[in-house]
Amino acid sequence: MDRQFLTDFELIILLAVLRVGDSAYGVSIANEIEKTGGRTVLLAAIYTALDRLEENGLVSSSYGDPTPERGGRAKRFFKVTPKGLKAVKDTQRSFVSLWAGIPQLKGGMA
Amino acid sequence: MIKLIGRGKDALIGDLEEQYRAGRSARWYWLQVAAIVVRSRRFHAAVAVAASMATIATAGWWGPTRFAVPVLLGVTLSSWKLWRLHRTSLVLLYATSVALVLPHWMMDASVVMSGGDRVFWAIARVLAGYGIVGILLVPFLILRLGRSGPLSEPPVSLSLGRS
Repeated sequence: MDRQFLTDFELIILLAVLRVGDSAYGVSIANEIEKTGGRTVLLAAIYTALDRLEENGLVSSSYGDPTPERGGRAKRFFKVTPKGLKAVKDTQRSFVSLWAGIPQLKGGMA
Repeated sequence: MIKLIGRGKDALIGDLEEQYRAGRSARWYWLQVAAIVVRSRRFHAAVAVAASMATIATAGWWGPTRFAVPVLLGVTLSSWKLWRLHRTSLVLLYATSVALVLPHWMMDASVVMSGGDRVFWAIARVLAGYGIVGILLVPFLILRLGRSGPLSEPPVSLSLGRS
C-alpha cells in the first residue's frame, strides 16, 4: 500500500497551508488555524510538524527575503506537494468512511 | 539563549520577532520561547545528563540499601515530560541510569555478603564501564538521532495509522 495517512495535527497543518496559499509561512499558518480551527497553536509545534512533513516529502519550503521587522530574518514559505495533496485526500476518504454508518452521529455532522 | 537553542531556526525566530513587534504580549512571547527550548534536542540532551547525574548523586548519598525508592521516584518525576516528548530517549536514559546505579549496589553487596566475590566485582565493573560509556552516548544519540531518526517523532494524539 502506498497510501499515507496523517495525524490530526499534520492534517490541520496541511489544510491551513492549502487555505493560505502562496503566502503560507509560520505566522500565517498559525493565524489560519486559530481563525478557522478555533484553537491556539505554538509556533514551535507548527515548525516541528512542518519539518517532519518536509522530510516525508509532503510539503516543500523556500526562503523569502530578510525583512527589518523580523530582525533581518527571512520568512520560510511552505507549499503542499502533490504527494501531500494525495495524503490529505486519502485521509479525508478514511475519515469519511469511518464517519459513515455510525448511528450516534446521524444528523450531527453540522 | 534562544539563539543558542534555536540554531538553524532563523525563520521561527523571525516569526516570533515579527509577532512580538506586531503587538503580541510578553507572556505569549515567552511561552513560545519556552516551547522552542523544551522541544529542542539540546534541551533533551541536557535533561538526560542532569537526570543521570542526579541518579548517581542520589545513589551515592543514600547508600545501597535505601536509595532505590528515592532514585526511582526522582527519575520517574523528572523524566515524565521527557517520556511525553521522546520515549526513545527516556529508554536510553533509564538504561544508563540502571547501569550506573547497579554496579554501586553490587560492589557494596559483594563486600557485605561474600567479602568481595571476584565474579560479582567483575560484573559490577563491566556494568560500571557500560554506564560511563552510556552517559557519554545518551546526549550524543539524542543530538544525532533527533533530526530525522526515531527521536524526532513526537507522541501522536490521534492517528489513523501509517502504511
